[in-house]
Amino acid sequence: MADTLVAGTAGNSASMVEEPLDLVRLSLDERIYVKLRGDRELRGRLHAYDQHLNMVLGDVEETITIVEVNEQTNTQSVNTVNRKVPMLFVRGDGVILVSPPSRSS
Amino acid sequence: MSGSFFGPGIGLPDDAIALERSSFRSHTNNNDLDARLETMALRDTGEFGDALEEEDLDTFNDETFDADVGEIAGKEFDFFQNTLDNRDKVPQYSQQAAYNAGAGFSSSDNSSGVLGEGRVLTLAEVEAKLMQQNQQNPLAMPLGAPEQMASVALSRRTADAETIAKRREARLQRQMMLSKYDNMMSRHDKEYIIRIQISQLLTDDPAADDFYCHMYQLSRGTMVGPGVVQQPATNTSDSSVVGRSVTPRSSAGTPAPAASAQGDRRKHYLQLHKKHHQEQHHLQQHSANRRPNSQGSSGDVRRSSSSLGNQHHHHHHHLGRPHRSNTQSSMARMQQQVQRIVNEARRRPKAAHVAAEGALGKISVNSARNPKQVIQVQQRSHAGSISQADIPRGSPMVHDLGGIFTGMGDARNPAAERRKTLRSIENVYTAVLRLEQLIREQARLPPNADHPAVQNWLTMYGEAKERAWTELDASQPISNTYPHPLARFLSFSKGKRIIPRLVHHLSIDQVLALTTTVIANFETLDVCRFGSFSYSVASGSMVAARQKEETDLFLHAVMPPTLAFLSETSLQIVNGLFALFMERNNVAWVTRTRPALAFLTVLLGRSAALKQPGAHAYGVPVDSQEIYQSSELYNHLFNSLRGNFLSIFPPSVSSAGHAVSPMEDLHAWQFLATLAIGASVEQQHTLVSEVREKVLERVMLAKSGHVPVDIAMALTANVNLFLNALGLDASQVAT
Repeated sequence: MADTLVAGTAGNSASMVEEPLDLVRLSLDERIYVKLRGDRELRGRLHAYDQHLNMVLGDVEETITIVEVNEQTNTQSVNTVNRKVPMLFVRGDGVILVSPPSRSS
Repeated sequence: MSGSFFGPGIGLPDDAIALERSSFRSHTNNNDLDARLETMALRDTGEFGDALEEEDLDTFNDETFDADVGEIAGKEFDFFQNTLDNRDKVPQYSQQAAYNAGAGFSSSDNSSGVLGEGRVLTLAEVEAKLMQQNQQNPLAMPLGAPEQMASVALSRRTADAETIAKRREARLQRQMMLSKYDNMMSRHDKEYIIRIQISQLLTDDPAADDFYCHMYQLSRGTMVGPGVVQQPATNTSDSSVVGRSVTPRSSAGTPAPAASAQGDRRKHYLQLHKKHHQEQHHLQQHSANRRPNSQGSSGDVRRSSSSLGNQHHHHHHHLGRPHRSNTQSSMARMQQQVQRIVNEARRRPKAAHVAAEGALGKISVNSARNPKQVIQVQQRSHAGSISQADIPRGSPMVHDLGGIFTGMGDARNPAAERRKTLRSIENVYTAVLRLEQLIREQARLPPNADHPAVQNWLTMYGEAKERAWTELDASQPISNTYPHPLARFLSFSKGKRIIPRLVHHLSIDQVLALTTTVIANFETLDVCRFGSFSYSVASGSMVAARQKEETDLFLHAVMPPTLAFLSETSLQIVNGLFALFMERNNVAWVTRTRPALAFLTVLLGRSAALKQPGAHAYGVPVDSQEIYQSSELYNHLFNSLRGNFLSIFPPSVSSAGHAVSPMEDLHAWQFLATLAIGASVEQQHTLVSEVREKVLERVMLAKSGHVPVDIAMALTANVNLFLNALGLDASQVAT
């Protein structure tokens, strides 16, 4: 658990980021934005993660983007579907990116 | 290749390739199923001996799970022999059907025959064939079962001898249907499989691997079942999950089997508890007692288990003979097995690498905890680290609580400052987790103080404490960066949350230093900066909710540990802190905030208690000099607040136009009460005259009947806090 993590960070200076996952560690307990495969996005509070980027998120809002192509008129419309989930486990397989929430939201 | 139930395919290795190979080999023999079975049964598994020689080509199932290779290799399970032996245990009917099915294979024209095409029949196909057989068979049991059961239910009322016989007949048939496929595996097989499964659950360091499950159970006060998670060993295994929880926040990656095994055992335990079967309780209790000093919170576990022990002594001689049903006895047996397996494995720890003597190099033994790595990744190389210079200028962070720290910190790069603060928070967390782990291990140290292990532990503990303290950076000179790193540290809720856990390990001096720094920078704390914002924010908005959350968190997490030591310090220190507070902070402004009021209340209360005649701290009687100083400070506070007493109350209608609940001013009343205790007559006059309107308003509201009774009572109680300190009471107020 924490022990191997400590062994690694024993003598580190505070401002060096050792590996990319450390940046995710900095966002623990903060709100983050996750982009998933299948045109899905999540915004929630990060409670836990691991090296596969499996994550546990709280107070999550999931946004699914659907593009509907109308055959006849050759147009497409972009719709989004929203849903809110209080607590969610995300399998790391489908995670594309993790970032702090963007300004626009 | 045939897959008939008791046919020749069974004794051979499972995977298709090997099956093909062996079927080809045995293809030469006769096609008559019965003759083949006979010859197999009579022969001394000579044919299988050939198959086994081929084993080195098939390395798929080489994991032996600690069982002796000789034990596995020599004796393949002989299904046919087993059923021959157990034939009398199986109800007669199904045996007949099975035999027919078996015979039917070779005679039916749409079966592939025993060795016909070399195709393995799937289970579904086999069952389909059976169904066909049964249909042809005069006793059409499988089809008729549902109807029969329905009719049985209906006819339950009449009690004729005939119907009784019919019902019993039906029951027997149902039973036979259900147990038609029983006894396929011998006890040895079952134990073998269980051994394999349990060995996967064994860990070298259950405290690390199942940490969150443990913590969760401990925090809920439940008992951990016996078996796989016994005493933690010293070496750690690598864990994947990073996350912090003792609280509802759950983690990703708790190994499912262990958790569910424990959960099942616990559930089962609860069921048994209801049924009052003391045998099981004893087993559980014994094994629970056998985890003596595993984790630091073993105290809780022992407490719960001993209380259980007391209960069960009542039931102990309840029955002369233990009364067990099947499931319970099998549970008991499984637990015994688990014990045996665990002890076995503990006796022979398996290493991740095997190096034979005189051989060059190591062979890695892959297991669940040490899987084969597809990519070799070098850990912790600094080649890819990001340095400060590379971080581009970013704009200020959002979600910073209503713009509190916008543009603050190192003016060159607020994003970098934020990340630096987050980084130091994480380092403090790491250090605190290390400290807590050490505390847990402390329980297992040998008792004599000069044992090297104890020395080692002490060194490690001291180091970790040092690390935590330096990361916290509480003693940095006050004017270096604005806001002070500690203030920034505390601007995050996770920073506030770690303080009580950290303070637990710190020395008194360090806590004092921490408190001093907090006080010196009180104004700059995020919770104080809210004061000016909170009433301009809509009360339902997310920002307001977060502000409230942060304030509460501060009041509950940060203030108690830092101020707890105050109750034992001398008046001198209290005075010093008081003076520092008033010097560094704009009192009139900061008293609008709840944390400041709470803090002042504590300080005032403490100094008042110490000023009383006969009071002493640390056994030293209070110096008159200090009392004088304390009064001076009090007066100073009073004067700076003069004229502003009304402002400490939250406005009844916030500037955004939302009504503020009348219950919100409890902290203000408490402060006023504490203030009133030390006030001179003249000061009391001032107090009363200034807050008179507020008092009247509250009392009127309570008496008016517009609010429900309990709220009215609470309102009156709040006001009485103040009035009683003055020697008055709310009932005396003329309305």
